[in-house]
Amino acid sequence: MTALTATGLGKRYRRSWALRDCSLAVPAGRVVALVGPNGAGKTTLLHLAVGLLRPTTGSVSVLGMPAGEALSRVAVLAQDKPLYDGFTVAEMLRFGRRLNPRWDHELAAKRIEELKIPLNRKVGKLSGGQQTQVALTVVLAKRPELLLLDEPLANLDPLARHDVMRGLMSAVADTGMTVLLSSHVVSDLENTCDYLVVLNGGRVQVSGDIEELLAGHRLLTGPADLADGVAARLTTVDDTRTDRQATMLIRGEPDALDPRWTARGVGLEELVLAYLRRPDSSTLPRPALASA
Amino acid sequence: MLELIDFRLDRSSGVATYLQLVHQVKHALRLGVLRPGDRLPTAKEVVDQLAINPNTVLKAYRELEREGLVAGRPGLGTFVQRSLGGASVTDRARLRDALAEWVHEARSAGLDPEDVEALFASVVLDSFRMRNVSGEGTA
Amino acid sequence: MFWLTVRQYRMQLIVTAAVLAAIGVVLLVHSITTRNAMAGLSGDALDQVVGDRVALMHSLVTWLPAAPALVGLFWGAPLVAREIENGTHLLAWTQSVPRRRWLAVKVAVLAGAVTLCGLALGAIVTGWVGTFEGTPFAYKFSDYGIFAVSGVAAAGWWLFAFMLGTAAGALTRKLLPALVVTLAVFFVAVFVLFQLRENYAEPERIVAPAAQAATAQDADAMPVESNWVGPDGKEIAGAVEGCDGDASTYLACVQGKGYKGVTYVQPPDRYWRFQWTEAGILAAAAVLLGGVAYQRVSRRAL
Repeated sequence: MTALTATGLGKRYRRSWALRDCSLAVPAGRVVALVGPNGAGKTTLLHLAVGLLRPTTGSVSVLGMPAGEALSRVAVLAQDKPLYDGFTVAEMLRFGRRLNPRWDHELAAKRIEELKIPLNRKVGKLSGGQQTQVALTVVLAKRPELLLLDEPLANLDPLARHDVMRGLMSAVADTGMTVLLSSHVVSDLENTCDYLVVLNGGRVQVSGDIEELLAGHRLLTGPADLADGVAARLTTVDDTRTDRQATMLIRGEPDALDPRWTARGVGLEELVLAYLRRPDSSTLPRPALASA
Repeated sequence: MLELIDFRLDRSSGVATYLQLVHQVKHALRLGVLRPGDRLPTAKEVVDQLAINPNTVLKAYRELEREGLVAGRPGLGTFVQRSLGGASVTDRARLRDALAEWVHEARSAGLDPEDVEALFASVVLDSFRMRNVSGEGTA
Repeated sequence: MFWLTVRQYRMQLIVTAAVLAAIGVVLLVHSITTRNAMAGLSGDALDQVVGDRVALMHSLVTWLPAAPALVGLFWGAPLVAREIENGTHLLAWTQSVPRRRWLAVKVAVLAGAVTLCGLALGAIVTGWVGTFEGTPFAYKFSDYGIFAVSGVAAAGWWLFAFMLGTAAGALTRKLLPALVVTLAVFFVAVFVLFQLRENYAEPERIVAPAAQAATAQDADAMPVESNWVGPDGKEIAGAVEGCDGDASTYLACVQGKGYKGVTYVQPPDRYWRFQWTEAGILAAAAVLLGGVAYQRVSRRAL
């Protein structure tokens, strides 16, 4: 079962493509990191998924339904965490309750109480972290099967980031919902996400289980004069060379190498950066994309 | 419920998060902080504390279960099955004294701490490798 | 959704109700005191008193036809434009309630409220003008402004202005341009409809001797056109040839040549027919504008 499927999805604003030829299958029950530089099309993809935008090409479906028709089962927290500034926190919760039949008021009230946010305070007077928590409460109490979060940690201090992530992860532990979380800061997503989608220049560059991806890549360091031969035999993602030394990120397990080479595993951030540096490299297409 | 074990993450260690959890449980078992019958914190309790993906916690517990150290009881939680570190407290004290004596000797012979560690590591490696080869189980 | 609409328009609802109440009280007090002043008077003395009393309220009543513009600005334009400008449309349009229903409920509730407010204003003004029934100052038909703020036309204008603001906001998606468009289109509509009003029905033709031509119709009749008609039955629009001089010698000359005055007017008993016609036109325009807003919000990509 996939939570989100995009097929040849594209969106053009006037002249330029914000998202192009995007094919993607996000497995259900995962916490998915949607990573890419600013302007890579992350927000566009999320807005297309909830029907706020109409695709120029292709299609996107969510929980097996066309985008925009599954709104009672999907929640989205937009980038600037929009809330009605003039509403009190209690009114913001009432808003959620009135507009969502599956609203879990107990959950919302409990969360706000645990966070010690005063119910009668105007939303506009709360701190940035508290506003994010209120916005997160509104989307969580909707009891979505798929939760889309657009840069949820932007503009938050480290403590607030941790608190927001804690709230989010504990909701995942409770409900098993699918989360798609966009960020341009990879370190935010380590330990929380288990599936990675890298979007670059409007295209999907990487998509897969994070552990499999990390296990499937190696960083090789060795003498520059041997590098060409090695590069020719292996699938290199990124290749940086100095006069003497070459560093290559390769996909797959290196076969018998000259002992002057060392191979080691990669971290998530290293992996993402390597791909972003090389927009032409891609783990796609992969035939069994939809498998969880 | 009182938490028996307090997980910590070293985010810069490069060790996979689930392995860090596994190691910390094993460490607690060795030190006797956790004993058979103790309940491990639920995934949600760990997540609440560490802000990590709940699947990571479940994966760590599955790994411990696979090694026979803990067992999940549906609806109740995950419980410690057996302890680690067979040696008794007196054995441990005796061995520690012997090792201290050896380290003292090594210092007198002019070894610095790094030399001592390297030597110790290589002996440990050789000793356990020989056991593996000879077919004795691993622990 | 109903709760949300009322919550978001709390301020507008309170202010509008308060202003209407204030206008109602002022005009009611004025009406009562005027009736008292009129008691027992007749003829020129009565006209004198009523004339003075009406002049007192003139500036207030003259400005009332502009009130719907404020409705367009403060009720209509922000409905979509402010949500988009603040980014809260991302919140409002991603809840379980579909975007189309969000708009439909909001527009229905607010249009209902605005129409009720317009009707209330119409009733207030109609009651106030009724005070002067039987005097030459009961201008509820021939006065462009009073016609538009009395009866049911008032509600028509309020509804139209609200939908105009809503559609402008949905089209421009920014508050300031929406306000400008709303104001501009509203005043164009006022100008056009005030000119068009005399054509709502075939005018009545009144033929009278030249000397009485100017006063033959009812004081509150809406004049459409006045001509001379010769003995041959032909109508001429301008001055009668061969006659000039001051008013009385000119009229005598015209009458001498056998000309009569012919006036096309809308008689004041058509008041309600015209009221419904104007309200109907405005309601139709409002529906059209509602369609534009609906289309824009539900179909257009943002």
